[in-house]
Amino acid sequence: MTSTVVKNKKKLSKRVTAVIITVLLWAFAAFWFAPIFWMLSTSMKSTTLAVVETPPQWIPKNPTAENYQIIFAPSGGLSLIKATLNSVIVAVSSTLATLVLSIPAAYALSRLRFRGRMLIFWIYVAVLAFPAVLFLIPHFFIINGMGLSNSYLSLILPGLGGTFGVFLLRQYMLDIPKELEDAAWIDGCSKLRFLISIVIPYIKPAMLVLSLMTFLGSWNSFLWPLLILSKSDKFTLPIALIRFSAGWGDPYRGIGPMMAGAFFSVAPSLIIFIAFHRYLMKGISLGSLGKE
Amino acid sequence: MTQSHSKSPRRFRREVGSWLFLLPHLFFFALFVVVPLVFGLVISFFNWSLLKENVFIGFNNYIRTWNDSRFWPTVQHTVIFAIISVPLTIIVAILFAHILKKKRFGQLWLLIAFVSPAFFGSVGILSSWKWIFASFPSGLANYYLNKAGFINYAVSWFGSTSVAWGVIILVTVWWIVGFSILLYLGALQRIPPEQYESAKLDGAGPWKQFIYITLPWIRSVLFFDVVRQAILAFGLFDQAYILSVGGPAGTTRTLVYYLYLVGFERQDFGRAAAISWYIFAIVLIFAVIQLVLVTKSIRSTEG
Amino acid sequence: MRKLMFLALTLVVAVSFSFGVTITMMTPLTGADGAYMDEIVAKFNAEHPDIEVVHVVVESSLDMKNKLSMGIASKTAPEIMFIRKFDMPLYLEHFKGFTAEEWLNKYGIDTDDIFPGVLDGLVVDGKVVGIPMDIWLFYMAYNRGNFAEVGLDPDNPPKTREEFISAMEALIPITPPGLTPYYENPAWTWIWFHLLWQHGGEVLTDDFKEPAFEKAGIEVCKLMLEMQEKGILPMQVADPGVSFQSGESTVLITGIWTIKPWMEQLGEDFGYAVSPQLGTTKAVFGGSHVLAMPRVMVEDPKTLDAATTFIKYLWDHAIDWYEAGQTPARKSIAESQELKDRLPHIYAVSQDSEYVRQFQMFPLISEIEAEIAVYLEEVLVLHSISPEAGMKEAAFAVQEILDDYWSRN
Repeated sequence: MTSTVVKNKKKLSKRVTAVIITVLLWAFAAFWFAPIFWMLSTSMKSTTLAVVETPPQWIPKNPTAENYQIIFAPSGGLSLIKATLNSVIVAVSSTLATLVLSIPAAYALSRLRFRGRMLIFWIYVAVLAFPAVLFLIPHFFIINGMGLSNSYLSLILPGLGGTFGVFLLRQYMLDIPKELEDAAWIDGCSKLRFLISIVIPYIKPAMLVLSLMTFLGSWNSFLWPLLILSKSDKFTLPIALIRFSAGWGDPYRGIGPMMAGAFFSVAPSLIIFIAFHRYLMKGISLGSLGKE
Repeated sequence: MTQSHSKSPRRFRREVGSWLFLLPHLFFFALFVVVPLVFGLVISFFNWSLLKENVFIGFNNYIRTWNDSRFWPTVQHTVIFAIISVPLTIIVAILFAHILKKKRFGQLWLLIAFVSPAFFGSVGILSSWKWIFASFPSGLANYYLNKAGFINYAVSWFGSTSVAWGVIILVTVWWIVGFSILLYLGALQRIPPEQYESAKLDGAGPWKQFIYITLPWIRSVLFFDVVRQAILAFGLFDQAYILSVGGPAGTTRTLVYYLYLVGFERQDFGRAAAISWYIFAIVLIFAVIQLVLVTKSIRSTEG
Repeated sequence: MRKLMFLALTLVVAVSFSFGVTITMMTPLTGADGAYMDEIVAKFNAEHPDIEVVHVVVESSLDMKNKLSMGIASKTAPEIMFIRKFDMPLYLEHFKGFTAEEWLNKYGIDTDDIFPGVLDGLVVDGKVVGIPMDIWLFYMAYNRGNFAEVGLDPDNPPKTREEFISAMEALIPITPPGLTPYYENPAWTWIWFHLLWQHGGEVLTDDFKEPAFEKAGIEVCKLMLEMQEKGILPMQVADPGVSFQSGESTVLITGIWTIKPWMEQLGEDFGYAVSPQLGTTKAVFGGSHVLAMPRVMVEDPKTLDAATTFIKYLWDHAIDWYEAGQTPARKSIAESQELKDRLPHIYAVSQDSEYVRQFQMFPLISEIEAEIAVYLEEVLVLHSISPEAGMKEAAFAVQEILDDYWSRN
């Protein structure tokens, strides 16, 4: 056979393997994501029996929206819509504030020199070892003492002391090549300008990941809001969904509304993911300067 | 000598400038982290409950915890869990990051499937998992394993210690691997492809490529991830509480579970604080050991 | 100008007169129960324009305790707690109490009407600090269709130990493999306590200084092991409920709160009865929700008045609440024709109320429960130690907890 035919055959088999691998990966991913599919599917089934029927129905025979109707019916002055809105306000504010605080702090700890720098860094890392739950009670007294209970601020402020973001950004900032910094310094660039025009674009992927984490961490947090909020008009989504949690004894009673609530709180995370995925992938590949 | 005198005020000014960058965050850190920690330290020496007179009892909380026959098994469980789950999660994350690195058709779908669970709240997904590992024959896992012929009876997934831990580890890896994947993905994409090409030309196989090219590049991210994972592992609570309820026979109780049981259920906040400081110490020791091991092994592979 | 001021003045006066009292009631009622309470609260608010009750739901006992402790310390607690009785012991001194006469004469609440077993533990220094609203009794739910299928009389469910065991054995042939006729989680401690009381045992001594369950506990473990060996009770940790609702398993002895959804699910096949007496002493497990007011929150007479008005409303409209699936805490209601007519199933089960046993009012009772569970599971799930050894170790572990408590109280 001629060499081109051999080459084409090789190309074809390579293509075929690539396609097979892709299909296998898709199937594996579907298998991996099954619990979420189950959550969605169950949220559209109306009775516990429908949930437990064998063979398990992935696509409900009689899909119904009644579970979603149940969770959206305002009960006792509490509306899921208001709770969602509260969650959005708190999560967005927390994310912005965290970025504004963490970026300069990470910069200081990674590229600036001052006495006590490493000490502060290690303290910042060490406190991450503390079980988060212990902060609940002191925070309660501090926020109460500031007269801020039942406010949006009470949900935003305590998290701003978190050092995880600083840690994350610092690690990324460490990778900025020293030559860049030296060049900027020679050009008379101030620290602030360096931070704004060079560092920040460099760490965009890390910033994105931190934003995502902070946003969703705030979105999903419920221990703290549960403790500090007593007026239902400021309740966030996870707390509003408590009403649909498992009851005593038979945890599968009312699993329809529970899965509906669970999926409703998972959905925004998914949407954000899909919305930002291109930025995630693009932002991450924008990575290094000067090494390409 | 005159030089050092003239250097100090400039150095001082420069340092103040640097501190200014740190200050805003430091303020919140001091108020919402340091103050609570000091508060926690102080009340750990008290019988402190919010409901009655707080009595100073010295080290009693610490001694009682040390002597509690439930505490040390809990430490053991949590440490073993961390030893298994942290490396496992990292390996899975690096693997998935490699898969996601290649541009392929439907990459978004893979990203969503593997990464997004890390951003979902615990209650919803644990309810779904609890259903999957339900004990009756029509529980999803039992049903499909039965159909595939792997088992011919319904497994009580939380009825035996090792199986229960297996499930907890599985669910945990599934849940948290997403963030690590993003970290490694970001690091992997910064490696210049030429390095791999020249290595291939030199005849290096995929494993060698990984050790000599990939690892050095992802070193600082690995460091970060190991610390992060160690901390997370010791904070394990939701899965142990919701899925296995600490059972069977208390063998899936973790440190935070113990904290809830003996500290918070009793509303004895002094005791809770003391237990937290124990957890802190244990996590610190464990994280340091992990870091030393990781640094050593990277250094040794670099030859 | 004058007209404007007059208008403003009238507005201010009108507003200050319509300035009602807002009180918060915190309950652990998730799911369908919560919806019932919402309706009752809504009706109350409609009938009482000057009082607004806000219904706040928390999920677990722990959340409730955290919020209550914080609330009492910072004076931001709810005005009314709808609290599970076994969560109360830590807070007894912090609740507002009245003597029985005061409850009766000032608020029209007759505490003598409450079952003594339920009021027990709620009296501090001669004052009643909480009004029990309900009892969640254990009852027996069974599948009438399955009974008929194996020749058992669906109208005559088992009442004694022998009847129960032979009935269960008769049901084994029609129970699918992997399940049992009585498909309950052997690690569920409440069943064990239910049986403990039926065997004349108690968790702690009356002074709460020592465990008291060892002897009777062994008997209960032996009974449960016997049921496991005969294939009546699962050998392993089980998730009940679902297989009962699908008709695959036949019997459950469980809380009355399940009665409504199961009745709807199983329809004609659903049978209910008082729990069988499987031991030597007539007893049945029960818990209660208790209405209590943190003292620091009701110092203002207007607030106190509003709160007690709502409590009285619930007292009078109790049967509305029992529809959700609870039995009455009051003798008069339990024996009433109204209950019999409106909620015959609740009526039937509540005939057992005088034998109700509840957890002792010891602050660490939940922790003790969790420790006993560990050893129960070693005996009944892991099958790694004998009942004698298991109960001995459990008693030892409980003594440790008691010593810890008493060393500092």
